[in-house]
Amino acid sequence: MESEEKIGYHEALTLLVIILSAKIFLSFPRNMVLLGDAAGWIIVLLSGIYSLVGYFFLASLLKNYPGKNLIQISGQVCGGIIAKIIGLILFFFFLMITSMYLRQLAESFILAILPRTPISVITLSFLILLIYAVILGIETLSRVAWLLGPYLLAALIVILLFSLPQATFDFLVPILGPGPLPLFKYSLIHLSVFAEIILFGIIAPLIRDQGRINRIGLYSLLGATIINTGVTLLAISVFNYASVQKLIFPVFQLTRLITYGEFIQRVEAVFVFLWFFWAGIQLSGLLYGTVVSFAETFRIANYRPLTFSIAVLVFSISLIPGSMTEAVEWNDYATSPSFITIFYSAASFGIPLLLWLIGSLRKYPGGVKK
Amino acid sequence: MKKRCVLIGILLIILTTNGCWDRRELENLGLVKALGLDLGPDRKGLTVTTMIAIPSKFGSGQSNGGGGGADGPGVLLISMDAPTIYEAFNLINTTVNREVTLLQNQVLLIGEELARYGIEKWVDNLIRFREMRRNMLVFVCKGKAGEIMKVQPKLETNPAEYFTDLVALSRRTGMYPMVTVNDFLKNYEAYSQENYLPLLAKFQEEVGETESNQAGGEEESKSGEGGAPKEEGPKEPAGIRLIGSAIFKKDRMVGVFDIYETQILLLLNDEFKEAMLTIEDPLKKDNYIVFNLLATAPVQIRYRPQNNVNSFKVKLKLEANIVSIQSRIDYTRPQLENYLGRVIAGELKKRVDKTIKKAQQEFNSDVFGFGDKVKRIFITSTAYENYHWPDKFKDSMIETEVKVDIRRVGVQFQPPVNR
Repeated sequence: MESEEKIGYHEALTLLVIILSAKIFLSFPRNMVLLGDAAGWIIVLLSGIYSLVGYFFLASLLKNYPGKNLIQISGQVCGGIIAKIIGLILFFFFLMITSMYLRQLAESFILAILPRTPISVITLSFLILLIYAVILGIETLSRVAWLLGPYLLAALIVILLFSLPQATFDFLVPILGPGPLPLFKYSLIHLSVFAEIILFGIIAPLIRDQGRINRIGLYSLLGATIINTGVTLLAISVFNYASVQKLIFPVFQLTRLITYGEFIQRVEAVFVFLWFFWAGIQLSGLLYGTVVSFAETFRIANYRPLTFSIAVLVFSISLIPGSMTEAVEWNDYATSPSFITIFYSAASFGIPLLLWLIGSLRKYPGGVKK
Repeated sequence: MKKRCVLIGILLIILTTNGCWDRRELENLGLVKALGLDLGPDRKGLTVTTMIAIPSKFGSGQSNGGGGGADGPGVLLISMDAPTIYEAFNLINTTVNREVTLLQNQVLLIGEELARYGIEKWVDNLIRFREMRRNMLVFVCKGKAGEIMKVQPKLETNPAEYFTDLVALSRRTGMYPMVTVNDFLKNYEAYSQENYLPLLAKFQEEVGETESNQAGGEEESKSGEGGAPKEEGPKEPAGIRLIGSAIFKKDRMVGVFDIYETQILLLLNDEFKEAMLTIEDPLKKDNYIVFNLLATAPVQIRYRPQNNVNSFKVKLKLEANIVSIQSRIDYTRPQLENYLGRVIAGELKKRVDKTIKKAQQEFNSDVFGFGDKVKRIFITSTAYENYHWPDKFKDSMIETEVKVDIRRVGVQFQPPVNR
C-alpha cells in the first residue's frame, strides 16, 4: 500500500488507548465481573500484563521489518499464500470486532437515549461518520484522537470521581473471587480484551518517528490496562459484584447514579457525548483496520474505494445477532469462552507469535537482521 | 461549491432528523413525581398510585401551592390495581390524557403490607425499565402508600419534593436513613448485609402507636420526649412524619427501629453525621443536658472468629458539643467535661448494645453490615457463600466500646446564674 499518510507519536498513542479502552462503555465490566466476581478487575489487570508479553512478539517483528506492516511482514516471513491467509484472518478479525462493537453501540444508544428509533437508522447514521473518517484517512483520525483524547479522558475521570463517593470498598472482597486458578485461566483466555492492539501492526509503518514505535504500543497497552482495570474496580465497588454481573452497561448506570444536590444530576447527557466521541474514534480506527487489512491482503494500492462496500458488510453483520443479549454474548467474554473470544486472542496475539517463531527460525528473511 | 454542498447537507440533516422516532413533547407527558406501591386486593398484584405533576400549578412565585391552596394541590393522584407497575401505567393512560412517564420520578413509596409480604416479585420491575432510575429514594409507609401520598404538605407545592427534602434532613438528625434503589439493591444481592428503609407515617394515627410499641427503653423515654409531635392536635389536615426505619430480612420487612435505634443503625453504618441528643444530668436529677453528637471518625469493627463463635469488637469514637445545660453545673471545667464525656459514652453504649441485641434476637437481620467484615477473611466467593453468614449473625458475640470527647461548649463557658 502506497501511502502519504504519517502519524505522530502522541496521535498514535491516543488513538490506540481510545481503541483499546472504548469497551468500558459497553458490557466489558460486566463480563469481567461475571468471570471473576469481586476479583473481576484482577482478570483485566492480569490480561493487561499478559498482553504486554504478547506485544513483545509484535514489537520484535516491527523492529526487524521497519517500514512494513504485519501483512507485509508475513509475506516476507512465510511467503505469498500464508501472507494472504494471515491477511484474511486479520480482515475477518477487524470485520467481526467492528461489526459487533457497532451493534453493541447501537443497542446501548437505544437503551440510553433513543428507545424508539430503529436500530438500522442508528447503525447507518453512525456508519456514515465512520466511512467519512476512514476516507479522510488515519492521519486525520489520529489527529482527531489527539485533539479530543485529553478532553475525553478528563471527562471520564471527572465522571468516575463523581461516582467515587458511592463506592464501598468492602465490595472488593473476597479478594480472589472464584479463586487464583480460575483467575489465571480467565485472564489468559480473555487476552482478547486487548486484541485491538493488532491495529498497531497495521499502522506502525506510518508513524513518523520510527525510533519510538515500540514505546507507543507499550504505553498504549499500559494506559488501556489502567483505564479498563480502574473502571471495572469502580463498577464493583459502587454496585457490588453480584449487581454488576446483571447490568448490561455498568458505566452508563454509574453515570445515572451521580447526584450532587439539586444541580449536578442526570449527567448521562454529558456522558452520551463522551461515549459518542470515544466510540466514533474507536470504530473509525477499527473500520480503517478492516479496510486496510483487506487492501493489503490483495495488494490494492488505494484502500479508499473499498470503504463503502466493506461498510455494507459491517452493517449486515452487525444486524445478524437476533437480540441485544446475543450481540453481547457473541462479541466476547461469556462465562465459557466463545469461539469469537478465542479467535480474537489467536488473531491478535497468535499471529505475531507465529510469525516471530518462524522468523526466528528462518533468521528473519528480508528483515534487518538478515 | 463544495462548502455550499456541505452546508446544504448539514441543513438537510438538521431539518429531517428532528422529528424522529423518539420525539416526545413535554406538554404530552404526564410526569410522575412519586410512585406508591401497595399490595393489591387479590394479594397477587399491586395497587399502584402515581403522583402526576400538574405543571401549571408549579408556577414560580405564585402562592397557589401552599398545601393545595385555592387551586388545589400541584399534583394529580391516581391509583390502579394491576398485576405489575407498567400494566397500571397502561390503565392510568386510559384516563389521563398525557403519556405517563417515570423520567422525573424521585420517590418510591412501598406500603407496609407489601413490604411485609415480600417485594421479590417486584424488585426487577424497579430496575429493568430504563425510565426507572437507581437514585430514586425509597420509603416504607405505615399503612397504605396511597394514603400517605394523599397528605398535602404545608410548605411545598410538590409533595414529592417534600419527601426528598424531609429525608435529606437525616444528615442533621440521623433519625432515619436515606436509601436509594441502588443502595437497596447493593444489600439485596450482597449476602453480607440486610436492608433498611426510612419509615413514613401519618402522624395523627400512627405516632402514638409507634412510640408506645417501639420506644420501650429507659433511654428513649428520657431522650425521646423532645421530638415527638403530640397526637392531640387538630385532626385536619394530617401531616407526615418519618418515624424510624423498616428493617428487612431478605426481601421482607421484619420489624421497625424507632428514631433513636435508627441513629445507632446509622452510626454503625457510618451514615450518621450529627444529631442533637438529650440526656438527664448525671449530677442533678430532672435536669437535662443537650449536646450535638458528631461522628468524626469511621466506626471500627474488628472481626475475630474464636472457637466457632463469630466475635466482633465495635469501637465508636465520637465528639460532642454542649448545646444546653439546665442544671447550672459548670460542665465546661476540664474534669467535669471528661466526666460528662464518659456519661454520654455510657448512655450511647447502652443504646448500641440494645439495638444490636434487637436486630439479633427479634429480627435476626444483620442490618449493620457485620457480614462485610466476615467476608474479608474468605479468599473466594464460593467459600464465603458456603459459610452462610446470615444464619450465623444471631449467635455472634458483639462487644462494643464507645468513647465520646467533649470538644466545644458553644459560645459560653459557665451557665448563667440568677442573683
